Amino acid sequence: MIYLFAAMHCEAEPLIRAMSLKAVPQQGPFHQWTSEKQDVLLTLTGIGSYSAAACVGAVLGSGRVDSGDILVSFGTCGSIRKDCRTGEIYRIHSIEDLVSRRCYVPDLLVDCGMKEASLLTGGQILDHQRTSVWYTGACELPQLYDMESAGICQAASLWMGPHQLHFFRVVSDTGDGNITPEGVCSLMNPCTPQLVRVLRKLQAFSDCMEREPDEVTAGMDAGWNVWMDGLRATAAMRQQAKALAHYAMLVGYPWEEHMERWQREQRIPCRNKQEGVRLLDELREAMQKYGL
Amino acid sequence: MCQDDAVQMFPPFSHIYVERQAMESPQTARILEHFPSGTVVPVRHYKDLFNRGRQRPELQRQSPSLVLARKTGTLLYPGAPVCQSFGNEHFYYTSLAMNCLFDCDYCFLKGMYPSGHMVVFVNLEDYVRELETLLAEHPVYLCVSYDTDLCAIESWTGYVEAFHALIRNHPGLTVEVRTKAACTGLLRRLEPEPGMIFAFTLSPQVVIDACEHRTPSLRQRLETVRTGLQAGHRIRLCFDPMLLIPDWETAYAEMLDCILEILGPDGLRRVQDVSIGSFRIAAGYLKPLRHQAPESAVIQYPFCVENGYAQYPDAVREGMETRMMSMLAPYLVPEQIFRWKE
Repeated sequence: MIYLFAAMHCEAEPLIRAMSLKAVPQQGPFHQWTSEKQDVLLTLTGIGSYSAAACVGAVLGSGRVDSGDILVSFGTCGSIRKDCRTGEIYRIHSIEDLVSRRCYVPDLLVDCGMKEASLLTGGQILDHQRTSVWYTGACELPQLYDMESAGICQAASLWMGPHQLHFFRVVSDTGDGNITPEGVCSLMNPCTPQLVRVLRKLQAFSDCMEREPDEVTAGMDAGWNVWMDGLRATAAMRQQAKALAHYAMLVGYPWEEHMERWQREQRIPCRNKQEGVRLLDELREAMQKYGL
Repeated sequence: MCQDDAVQMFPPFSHIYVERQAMESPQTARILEHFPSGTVVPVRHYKDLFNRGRQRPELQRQSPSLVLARKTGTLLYPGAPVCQSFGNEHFYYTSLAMNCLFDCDYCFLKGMYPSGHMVVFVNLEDYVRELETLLAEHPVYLCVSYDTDLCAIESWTGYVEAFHALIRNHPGLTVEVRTKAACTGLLRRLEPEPGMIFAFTLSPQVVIDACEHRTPSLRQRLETVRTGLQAGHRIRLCFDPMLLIPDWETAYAEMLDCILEILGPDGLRRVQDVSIGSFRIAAGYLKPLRHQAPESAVIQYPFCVENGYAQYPDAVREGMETRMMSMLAPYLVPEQIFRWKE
């Protein structure tokens, strides 16, 4: 699943059209769109870090976030330094919260072929004087400024790792404050094809990130549970048994033969968990010597 | 891991995160010179990157970043019980870098660190200051390459050479540099010093192929050992960790054959000493280590856990280590053989 977040409709509209996303009947406070395959969910967060964090928390908290899911925050930003020009799109490699001074660093593992920039998140419209007060001496000002990214990052980190978080911003202004919804839309439009290509790359990467299903117990759930019940296995014993079965699979040890022998010898079902622990220890000792 | 052609990962060290307080360090400048095309990203503190939650180190190792930072607090630590002290009373280790260029399935660093990125600390002068404080009280045996492979990154850090220079001014200091690197050039460049020991980890080639990714081959390491011996350096051979693999006796015997072929019996006799130890790891590190290497039988082995350490059962351990000792005994005197004991 790709979770897309943008602050305002004018930022999201070009991507909604490009990806043919359909509006989801509104059930909560946030407007959402989804793809036909329902593998993309776009949500408008509203403006500001707190609103963005609340939105991300609500969306990720209500679904089941998997290891292969990614979050993409996109939208517009102001330019603090002169080296970032209006209309250019940047991938964000570091985010700093102006108020808390906390620093967030998404993992940049996939090369999307984009320019990169650092970003400062503040609570108000960009004010060059206020931002420059915090940076003195050798410290370098971040390049871009927005009002949502730090909140999104902090909230999303409760569910996702840094390799799952991606931030893209289009420079809309240099802090002069003169920006309109139509202006935002017109800035996002030319960047949208590139953004769509990048999303496809990230989606391909997210397929690689998906953890392999558990080969040990996949396809044998019913039998496995019968054996575990026979051992009177607690949760901890089940974990130990699973680890032993995993090792057995790797080295080709016929662990099922143990279980079947115990059944023939009527040692399972065990009378209590202590007997089950002894049987697991027996299996462990046999596997420790395997191949010697 | 990710083999989709549509997905291109960044090359290693494409991004170099530099703590703001480390930005002006001469060592930072030296390191950055070696990576002119790297994107430098200022950060507040290395832990903002290294200690993030829910990281996937195995993914990060496909595209590792470099982090340059200043280490604060205690810089020299008493040696850990699982490590061999070689009879030295004042045994310390230090961490000048976190994580390694190499990628060994069984490495404790994978269990200890939450990140696959590499951190290098640039405030060497602070380490030296703390070391000199200790040296004023007693001799120090210092291992400098536990949490990384310093020889593998010597070309852009220069830390081995820095300690080499330090030893000359501090006769009470002995430094062990543990490595798997084929650092022949370094051994040729440095004058032998009684206070510097190069300790090469050796494994059978089948183990190297299966578990020690991106490392030089056994032959390459042995050729480096030979160069070091010929140059007069103190060389230690570390058969540690020994790993239980199918037909392990044959594998380790073949390793010894290779050692004798390249070093010769006389060369083997000239090593400072050898250390022998089967695999062991703090129990708390085993789970994250296993999580990152689900296909590695070596790590998924059902170890025994005693006193907080996971290791082979006594009989297995004894069998492997005594076998190794008996294979080396014809070539070394007992004082040259150190076997790890609890």
